[in-house]
Amino acid sequence: MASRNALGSSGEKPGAERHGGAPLDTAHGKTDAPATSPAAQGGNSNSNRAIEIKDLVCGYGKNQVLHGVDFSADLSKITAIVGSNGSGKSTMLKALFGLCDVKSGSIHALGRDITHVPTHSILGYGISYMAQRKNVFQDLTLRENLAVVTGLRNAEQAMDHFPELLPFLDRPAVTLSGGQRQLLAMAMVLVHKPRIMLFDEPTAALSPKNADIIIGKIKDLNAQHENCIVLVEQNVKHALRNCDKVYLLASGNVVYSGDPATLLDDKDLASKYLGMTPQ
Amino acid sequence: MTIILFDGLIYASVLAVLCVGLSLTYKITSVPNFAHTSFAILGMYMALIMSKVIGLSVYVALPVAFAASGALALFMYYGIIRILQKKKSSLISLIIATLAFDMFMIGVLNIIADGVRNTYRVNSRDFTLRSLDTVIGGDGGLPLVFIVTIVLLAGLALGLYFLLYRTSFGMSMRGAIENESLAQTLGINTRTIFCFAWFLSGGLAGMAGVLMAMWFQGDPSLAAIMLPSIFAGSIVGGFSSIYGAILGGLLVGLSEVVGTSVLIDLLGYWVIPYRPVIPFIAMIATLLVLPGGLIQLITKYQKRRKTMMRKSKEEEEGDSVGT
Repeated sequence: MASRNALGSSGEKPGAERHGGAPLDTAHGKTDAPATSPAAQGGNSNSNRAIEIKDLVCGYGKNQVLHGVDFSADLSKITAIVGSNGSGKSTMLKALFGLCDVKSGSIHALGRDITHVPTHSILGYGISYMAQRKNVFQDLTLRENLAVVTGLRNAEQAMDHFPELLPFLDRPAVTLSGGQRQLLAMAMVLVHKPRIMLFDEPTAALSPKNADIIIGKIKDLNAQHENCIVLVEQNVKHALRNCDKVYLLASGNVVYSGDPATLLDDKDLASKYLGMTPQ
Repeated sequence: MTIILFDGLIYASVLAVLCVGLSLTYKITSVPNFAHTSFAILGMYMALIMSKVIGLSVYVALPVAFAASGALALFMYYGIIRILQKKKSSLISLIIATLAFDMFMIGVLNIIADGVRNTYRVNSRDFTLRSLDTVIGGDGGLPLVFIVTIVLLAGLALGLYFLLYRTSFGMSMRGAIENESLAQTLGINTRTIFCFAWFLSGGLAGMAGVLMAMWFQGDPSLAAIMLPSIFAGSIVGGFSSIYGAILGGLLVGLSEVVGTSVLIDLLGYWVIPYRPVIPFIAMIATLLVLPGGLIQLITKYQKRRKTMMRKSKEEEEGDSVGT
């Protein structure tokens, strides 16, 4: 079940869930857990559940960005977060990675509470995060960038999935094209073989061809390793075409979660929040 | 002439070591540390205590001063700078905090100096440990401090190169300096790295202080006297570059000693009190003409050279395809 919060008048649709009440969706065969279950305590009642966020309130200093958000994502699925600028998409990922101030609520990953885990330790919980911008060290060469995460000896091995970058191994990252830089950033976050991968607008400022390459890599990863991928995307069509589940955020609240096709069918939501004109 | 050479090279090398520390902490915290010379003066008094009070070789003071001044720098970072940064204090507040710490340390160093003099009857003001040094080759020979100072600077330059460019820890350090939050998301504990850098910076200053005491006169007031020279060295070289700091420190140090000597010959001894004017002129001239320092000039030249080499290579390849 997915839900609508702001526009509850349209009623429930198959694969869509109403927000504001029960936060957990059943779109992928999951059920709300009883209060005493691990899920209710923030744990994981579903073996496939990778991320569980409950009633999250967070922001930067005094500026509150997310106002009580519930969110979940599963292993072997791609979950997209869409919404307009300032809706809180990137903040959601940053909260997962300890990069913003969590005021209340809980964040669980693979059944473990990571709400207040420091950023540098989160990688140890099987989660990696690729930031939207400045996601590689510009002054370092490709080899050095990889050595930061793998150690010097294994730097080249980290390029296994990215043979297209091998010729540039000893070039400073600042000299790479936008697409090459995104591939390098992906190579860096994949080194630790994470079970959960968070991508913050990985196709931003890329040409359509490069954007397709990046999305293709993400889908390949998902297919090969069955990990949980959370994708924040400004390009809604791109995101909805490639995800299994979508969250629509507006002003720091979830206004829809569930099946991407259902979101596209909902003309109210699509026009109001995604800027899509009804056809 | 020999004395001027020794004076110039020892002073310039010590200054370069201090400039490296100042630039390192500036790169990491983006705060110019006005208390940096205090770490050196603490090292100076460690040398005095180890040699004149405890009776050990003055060179034993090198590791002791490294540890003591390193710990002081670590305390300053962890106990003051980091807390203020967490509170999102402005740069002005951070600079004032380093100035306040410097003033506090000058007080502490004066207490140490008076304590040593009153308790052990040892001269602790305007003192020098030059007479305790070994001279290689007898009277008129090479003082050991000269060799140790040059070796320390060369070792520092090579050691830092090895650390920063040949170890993954050093690469993480460079990464953390460039983009702290990215480093954290990649699992790097930036707090440990920054603490290490501050400890290293303070420790090096402490060692520089020991070497200063073995050639020049030591006094708590030296903290304030040397500060403009260190800032001038770092700015002339390029404030955020470690190798620029070495270059700038050497240049400013040599200019101060040799320049003053030349001016004495030309104008007379009355110019001596005006010696600090030299680093000020160097600093202002650099800021006006080349704000990025000498390293900016070198980087530009290297880039141009690389571009020219790439172009000529492309032309050669084009010619060979054409034939």
